[in-house]
Amino acid sequence: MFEKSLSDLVKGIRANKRSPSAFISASILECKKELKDPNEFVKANAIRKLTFLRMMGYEFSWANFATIEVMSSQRFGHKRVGYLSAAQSFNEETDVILLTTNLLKKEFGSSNVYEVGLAINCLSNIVTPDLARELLPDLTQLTQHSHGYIRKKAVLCLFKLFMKYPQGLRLTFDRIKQCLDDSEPAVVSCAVNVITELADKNPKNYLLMAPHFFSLLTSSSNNWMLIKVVKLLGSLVSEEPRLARKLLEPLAAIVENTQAKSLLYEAVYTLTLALPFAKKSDGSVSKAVPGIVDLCADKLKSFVEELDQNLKYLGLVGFVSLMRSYPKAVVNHRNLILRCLCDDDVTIRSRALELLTGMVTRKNLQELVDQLMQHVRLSEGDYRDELIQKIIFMCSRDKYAFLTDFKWYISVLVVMSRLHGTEHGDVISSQIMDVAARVFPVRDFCVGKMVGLLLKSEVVMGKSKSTIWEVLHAAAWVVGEYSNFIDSVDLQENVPVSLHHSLISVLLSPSSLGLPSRTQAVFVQAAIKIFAAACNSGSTKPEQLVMCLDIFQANLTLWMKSKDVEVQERASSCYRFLIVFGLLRPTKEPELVTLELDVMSNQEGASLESSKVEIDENESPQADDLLGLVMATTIETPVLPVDVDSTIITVDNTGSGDGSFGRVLDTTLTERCREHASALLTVCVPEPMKPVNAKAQKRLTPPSFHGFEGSLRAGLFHDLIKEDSMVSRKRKMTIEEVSFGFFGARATRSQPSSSGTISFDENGETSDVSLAMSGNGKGPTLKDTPSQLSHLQNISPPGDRVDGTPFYLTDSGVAGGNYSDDGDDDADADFGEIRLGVSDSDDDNSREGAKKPARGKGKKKKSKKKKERKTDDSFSMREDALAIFGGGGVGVYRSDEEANDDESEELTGGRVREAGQEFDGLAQIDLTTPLAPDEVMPERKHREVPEHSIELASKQIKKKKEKREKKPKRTKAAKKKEEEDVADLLDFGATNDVKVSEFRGKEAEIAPSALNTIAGNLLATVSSTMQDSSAISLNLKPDEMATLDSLASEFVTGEWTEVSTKVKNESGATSPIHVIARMLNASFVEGSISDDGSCASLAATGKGRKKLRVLVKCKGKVIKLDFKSNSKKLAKSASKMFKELVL
Amino acid sequence: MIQFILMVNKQGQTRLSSYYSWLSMSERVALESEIIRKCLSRSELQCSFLEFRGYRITYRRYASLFFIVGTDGEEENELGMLEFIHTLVETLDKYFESVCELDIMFNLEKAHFILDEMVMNGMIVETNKGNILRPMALLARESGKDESIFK
Repeated sequence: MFEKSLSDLVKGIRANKRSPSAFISASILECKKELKDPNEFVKANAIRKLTFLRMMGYEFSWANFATIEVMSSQRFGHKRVGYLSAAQSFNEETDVILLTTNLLKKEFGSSNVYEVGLAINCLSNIVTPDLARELLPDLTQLTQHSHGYIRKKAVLCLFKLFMKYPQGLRLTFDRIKQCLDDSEPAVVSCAVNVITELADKNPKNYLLMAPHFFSLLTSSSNNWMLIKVVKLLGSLVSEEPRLARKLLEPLAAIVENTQAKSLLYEAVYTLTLALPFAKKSDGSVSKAVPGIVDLCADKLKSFVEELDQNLKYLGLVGFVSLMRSYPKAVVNHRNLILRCLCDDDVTIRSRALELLTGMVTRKNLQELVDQLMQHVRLSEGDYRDELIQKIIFMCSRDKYAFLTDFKWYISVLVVMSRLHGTEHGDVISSQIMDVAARVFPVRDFCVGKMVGLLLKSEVVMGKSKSTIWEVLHAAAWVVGEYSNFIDSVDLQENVPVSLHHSLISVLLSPSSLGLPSRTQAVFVQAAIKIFAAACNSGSTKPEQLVMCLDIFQANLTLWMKSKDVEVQERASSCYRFLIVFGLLRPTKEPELVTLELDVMSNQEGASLESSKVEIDENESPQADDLLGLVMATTIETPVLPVDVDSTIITVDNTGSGDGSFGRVLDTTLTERCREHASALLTVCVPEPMKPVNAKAQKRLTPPSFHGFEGSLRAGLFHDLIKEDSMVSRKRKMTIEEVSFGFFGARATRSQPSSSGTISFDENGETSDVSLAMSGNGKGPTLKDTPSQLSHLQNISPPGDRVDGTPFYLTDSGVAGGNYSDDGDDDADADFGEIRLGVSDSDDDNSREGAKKPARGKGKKKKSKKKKERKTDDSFSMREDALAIFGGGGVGVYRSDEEANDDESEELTGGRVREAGQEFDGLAQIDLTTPLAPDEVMPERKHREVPEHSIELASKQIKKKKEKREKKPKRTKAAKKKEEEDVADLLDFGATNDVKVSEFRGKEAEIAPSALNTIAGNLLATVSSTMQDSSAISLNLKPDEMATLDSLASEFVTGEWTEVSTKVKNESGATSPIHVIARMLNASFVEGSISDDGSCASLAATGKGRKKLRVLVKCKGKVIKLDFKSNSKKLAKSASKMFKELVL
Repeated sequence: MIQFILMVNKQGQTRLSSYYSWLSMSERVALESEIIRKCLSRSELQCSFLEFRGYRITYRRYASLFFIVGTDGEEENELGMLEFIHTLVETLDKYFESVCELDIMFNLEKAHFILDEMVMNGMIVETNKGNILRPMALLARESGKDESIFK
């Protein structure tokens, strides 16, 4: 013996601390070799070592077969190793699991209870649907085993079987019920355990048993079990509110009397679950309730006050549950809970936080949040994120229902946005935008705050990224969108030129290019909006405007080079736009010009005349083509093929005008700014948002100018440009020349490589076409609000923004609470677009519910009903199939309980978890209906026997017998045993207790019909009478079904010997079967008997896999016995033994 | 239902693991290391409950060994689990006579057997020490026969 033992392995691993992996892989190789060793000791040892290694995280699927070999070893010690290994490593995909079926069946019949226990334990770990179906009958039998040890394990194992094979639950539930009355408390406890688990999946089934548990609750003193019973009753409460009222008092009694903290806690917790249901139908509560609420609160308080952290934690959990029904009882302990926020333990803090979130009212919100904010400052990591999330949730829940002072809220948000590395940037930023958009009275305040944020954002973009970039995104949007408020912003500190200027310089500063592109895009957009506001504002001085423009001039081109398409597009649009108004001059910008190429080359043909000409006199003629540029850039895609040569030429030309521009135009520029101010504003700053529900938006027909049919309406741009007397193009273009790629006939010619000239108009004026395109292309890209679609059509002055739609909230600090109610349908309809993150999704749900109470629910119900009906049908069909195919195949389940689950989840306050997939089926099973006669234990059914007479059958059998001159293999042992006493036919030896039980009147649970099926195979002629299920089954060892089953299978597979004999029946008794059964001194005997007792079939099994089947037919004083056996000798000796028999 | 029971030492080495629902090996390894990291980061003063990946973890430390029980959702009483851990330790202690980490390592399948006597498919089946250890007598008799050959 040179193999390593487990201890050697462990020691070896410990000795090789530095590099255990080398040692381990060597050991694994050894084990692999050892598994091939014929010696079972070596094999078992290898498996044992592998089990240890598996624990260390190695996987050995190649050892699965060897595991089964070891499992089937005769020695208990080896078996145990094998079973342990199997339990740890097998899973549904393990193919060799199929091989365990018979092994386990055999093991269940073992006389050694510990072997049986081992097998049950293993089964519960490795069970698959197939295994469950096969072994359910055996296991059900084991729940009646004489040893409590087996019974309790079998009951628990049944639960696992149900999970894999849900139909089994209906078939065997009565058995579990019986276990509740078992003499052994451990078995009762296990049965309670199983029912508790089952009730968790579908409580309805177990309502009828409530009285039973109720009596257990009041009578039992086993705390383990009481905890389970309390839990079980708690889960039933949601199904039967009347139970809740009944439960209150006994539970309260437990709370008052028990010493065990665990039971105490469980009872209190269940009370908190039951309380919401304790209301009577008329809405009143019984007198006891307030007392019980106090009792709960008291006990929970004492838990929280305990020094033991565990109790403190549980106390808080209990409070959370109590808060759902009686928030007032919890609010009294606010200070206690606030103290828990200072606890060292994060788990406890999170619980306390959860409690506080639920305690919010309009009055205490600010106080609570202020306290939480202090914690935010001190905390870090996940916990701080949680805090922030809760604060936002508290403030924004139910559409800011608890919030009275929005200014305060914005300050809170700003403070939070300055924190390092929180994960809630998105939520904070959407909150800022939401409040700014919806709460008109605080808008100026908000803009002020945001200006402050942006101006200090150097910090942000610089070294210490103290502000979250998502917030900058919001800040830029708010400042841009409501730029008309910038004038009124009063910053404490001085700004170099003007606020507008500083903002634009910050937004467009090259350092902003380090921000995420999404934010950059908003920055560009905000900058031009602010500029528009600056132009419009009376207080800005000309030189300030010029300085602003200088920033655009200097920095925009940088942005136009951005890698991000969106940023590039916005920057280019902005740039071109300013050029159109004559506020910027095109710069020398090679990359850029490549894009403009087509337009440039198109200069001679396109004789665009612009008002700018007069300003740009001293510039090169290219400036004339400014509008062309705009159109082209907005239309063309950046990836256009380019002609480099022509680019360079044009660039050179453009460059000649450099320098003079700024000097000469200072004054004219400002004038121009003023002149175009309103146009700028209308283009850049959109009208107030009119949020449209996403659904409604779909129904909205797109504005007419989006279509290209008929003559086109150029929209705003048209007017703008007309104002500039730009529309004067004489030349007509043909439709073929119009393309999305570029613009102009010349370009088409000079750029043959550009493909995809898409014509989109039939007879429209070319100029119109181009203008419309620029309108289309430009409008949306310039806008950053959801109202892009409609704003071009109807522009209202930005002054009157509160237009009475409930979308806009008021700050009640200013104008008193004018909140939109949840039930307000209009509000809902208008609410669409804006997302608040966490809180809003809740809103959506509640709104959804409130909105369509009649229609939605009606529909739901209907569909639920339909579903139910469907499932019913399919279920009954399954049942049929089950009867036909002997339970083959688990049906596919539709989760018709889903809807119910949702409801009950609400009611029980989340106690009912979302059931895992494997439980779906289990939750489907309805135990309240009685078993249908065709619902039987799964059974292998092997062949259909045609109906014919007994004589015929026996003749056939005889024929077969002659035909089949089989020689069953005989082992030495078997031979030896055959020589033993005839009475010990089945080699069971003296040690065996003969277990032939009396015929019992109704042993009906074990599916007599199943026995009949077997009997039917043999007794073809009487099968019809026997199928009536009135036959009596005899037999009562747990394994009967298994044997019958396996017997039948072997019967079919052949190698059976048949012998018949006749016995005198002196007494003429009609049921001599039990006498015969008793004579078959076997491990167990089973069988069935026909109505009048004249026919019976018996099956007996002994050790050594010997099986004997006896068919008994009584006819007056003659009894005919047909023996069948897989051992020829056995059949003969049996017939010999019975031949002499006289009854 | 109990989903898994672990015994892990302070170095994060698993000394015994029993899963009552199937997890792949990589999931197991990841789960164990993350849980033990969480447990180790907690001080004696903190409570014995954790919430982790949907499991509710109840743990208790005895000397250098963490006994960790993972349950799903709210279906088990936390204090009950603590008591169970204590019973488990007492039982092991009784059988091994002042149990230590090495006892569990060297007698892995015995420890498993004891555990299996106490918990079956995630439900507590027996808490009486006498009842739990009775099968161990048989085990001892059997292994008396085997041991000589195993060695």
